[in-house]
Amino acid sequence: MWSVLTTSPSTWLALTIGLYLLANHASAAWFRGHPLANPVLLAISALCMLVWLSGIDASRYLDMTRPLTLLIGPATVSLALPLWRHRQRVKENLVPLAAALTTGCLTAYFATEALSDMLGFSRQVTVSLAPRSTSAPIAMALAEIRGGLPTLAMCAVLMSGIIGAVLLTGVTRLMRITDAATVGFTAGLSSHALGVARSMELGQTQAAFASLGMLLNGLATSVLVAVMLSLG
Amino acid sequence: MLKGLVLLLVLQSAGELAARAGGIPLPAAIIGLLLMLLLMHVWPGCAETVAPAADPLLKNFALFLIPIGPSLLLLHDLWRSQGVAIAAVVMLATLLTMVVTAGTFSLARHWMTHSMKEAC
Repeated sequence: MWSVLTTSPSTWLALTIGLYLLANHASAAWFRGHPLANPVLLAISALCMLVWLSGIDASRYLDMTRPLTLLIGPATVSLALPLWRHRQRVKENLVPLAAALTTGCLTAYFATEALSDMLGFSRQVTVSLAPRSTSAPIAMALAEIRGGLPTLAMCAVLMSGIIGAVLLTGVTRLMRITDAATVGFTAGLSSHALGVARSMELGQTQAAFASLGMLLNGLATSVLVAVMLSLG
Repeated sequence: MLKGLVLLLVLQSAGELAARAGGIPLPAAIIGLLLMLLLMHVWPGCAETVAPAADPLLKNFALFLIPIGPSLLLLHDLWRSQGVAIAAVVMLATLLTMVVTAGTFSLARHWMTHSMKEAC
């Protein structure tokens, strides 16, 4: 009887959506949005546990939850909408945005590659880690297109998000930077959605520039990977 | 909402076509995103068409990614052998990215306000 439940897509879809809702509630209400109590991290930890306990194969679980992962594509296309809504801000800050996007994007990608090479990681691991500053769907696609592992990419993305959110105010304070746009853009570029969430606690301007940083870095890193691929 | 969803799916398919048949080395969804930006540029009204579908998708983006998580269980050998090193690389690289981004943004702003004052 037990196996009827553990092999039914309905069960796993219900558990996945239910745990997502619970993790959102727990993170906001019980942990007051602390970066370490990130809802994605909470939900994934709980699901890993359940999948392991149920004895089904992790790839089987992925198959059964296909209705959810199918939406990653159209949701990624949707990212054009917030970018479009920010177009005025982009025009007004073109120079600092372009400059910081260039150096930030290149540092995020190549510092990761260089450090991975130094520690002798395999090519597959290195290309999975390299796009870690972009948001998860973009990073997973960019890892895959270079022969990496989407799962590992997502894990590196989560880690970058949590580290950036925890260290943001410490790093900018040490650099004596108080400008809201700078702090926000830094958070979004280096820590995607988690940086945006952290910036929302700091203020409206920070949040807007954080979301801009996340979106522009996703695009810039995609272009960077495309250029590398066409150069071979 | 359905009109918006159709538009998103059409652009995603166009992205897949461009990536596979056109040989553009970008993920299909990113090509779709770029096409959407282009479309909004020539037809600004389409933002309103797509918003009812796009906004709920964006709001629940994390939900669509969570099912990938348990696949981490398949990588247990990698975690055992290189987990700590991977965490160290990610931490150091994130720190570097933050310092470089904040530094550049701040310098460029400084330079811009400075040169503007001179121009006046």
